[in-house]
Amino acid sequence: MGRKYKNPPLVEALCEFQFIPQEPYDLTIPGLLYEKIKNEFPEKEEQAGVDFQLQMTDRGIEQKIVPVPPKVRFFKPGGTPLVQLAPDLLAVNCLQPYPSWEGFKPVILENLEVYREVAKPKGFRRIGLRYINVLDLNKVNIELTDYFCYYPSIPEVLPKQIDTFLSRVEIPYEDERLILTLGTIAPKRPNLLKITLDIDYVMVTPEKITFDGVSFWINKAHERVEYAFESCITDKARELFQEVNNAANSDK
Amino acid sequence: MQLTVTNNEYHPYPAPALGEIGFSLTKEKAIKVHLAALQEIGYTEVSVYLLPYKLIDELKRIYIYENPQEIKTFLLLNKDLIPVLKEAPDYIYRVFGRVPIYLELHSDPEEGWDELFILIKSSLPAEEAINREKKLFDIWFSRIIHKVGNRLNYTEEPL
Repeated sequence: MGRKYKNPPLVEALCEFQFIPQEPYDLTIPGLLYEKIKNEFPEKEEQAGVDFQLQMTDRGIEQKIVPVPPKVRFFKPGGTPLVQLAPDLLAVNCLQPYPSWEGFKPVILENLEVYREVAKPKGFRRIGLRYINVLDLNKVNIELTDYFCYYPSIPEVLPKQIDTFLSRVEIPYEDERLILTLGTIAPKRPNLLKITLDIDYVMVTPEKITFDGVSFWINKAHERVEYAFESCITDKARELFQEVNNAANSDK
Repeated sequence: MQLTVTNNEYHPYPAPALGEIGFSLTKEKAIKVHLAALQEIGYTEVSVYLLPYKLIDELKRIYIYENPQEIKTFLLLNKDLIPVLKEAPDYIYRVFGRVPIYLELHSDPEEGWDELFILIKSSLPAEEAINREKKLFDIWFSRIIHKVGNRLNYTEEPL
């Protein structure tokens, strides 16, 4: 059981399953899945079925706009939690308020089971459990080291003013990977620095995990994400998040 | 660890010595690796929170932002315009050909309105440009005008 915070920076938790590709993609899958989950996830939304693709040509790299099957989202009134579908992909997301791991995990497993019944996937190509944290900090006189133990190191001789940055590391963890991304995104106000700490624990060996092994794997992934989060922040950040001493509130 | 890009004419870094950890990539392969990385950034984002930020960055690969910070803030407040902007170039290129397209935010703080303009830069004669603007309206803008209201518009400008 990890530390608990009154004002946690977590904005989104998600579990993403990528499956061994089945060609051609069965376009009836979103409809069949919706039939089974519509009582719990009645709202639906379709995302644009076009994408930009980069292609290498004689003239260099060129953009191409290509049609792709649309991504579909099913969600509860209020927008969370939600289920996302794209070809050979299922994601279960939870936005704020996060209900605790004990609350989120069953939602993941239940929807995976429904997807399995409907789409009959051959196996997993990749699984990721990802927690996205956001800190809004005042841009003036900010020292990343005050809040983070993981940060881009800037040589002393260069100016200290931070405007935007993006730092990503992939750490091998046995034969899996922990992906830490720390970076800025556009703030709502010019004097703010909006920093994301994105922690993704992934299995990238196709078919290494069976459907029966998912529950165990996501528990392990959650422990590692939680450990990584605590390792990446300082006590000053914990003060900002207002650590709670007992298990009374929601956990990360 | 050393990343060495090689082709026939140019060897900016020495090849790794025997026993040294390193990679040797041809220029073409290096570009493909870079392309794959770029594609992955755009394609696999399933975070609902981060997706608008990623899409706005992705749009920068197509559009030239005249006032980037203001446009980003505006789009974050009007997220429903992002998919519209994503599909727009397909129609614009069909009508105008492969021309540069810009985004420009026009604001009137006193009146309290913001309107995002797609500027289509072409070298067409004025009359032909107007005809194509009308065509673009017929095949695309007329379908989305009810969604975008007075928050998004487009115009052709000479190159």
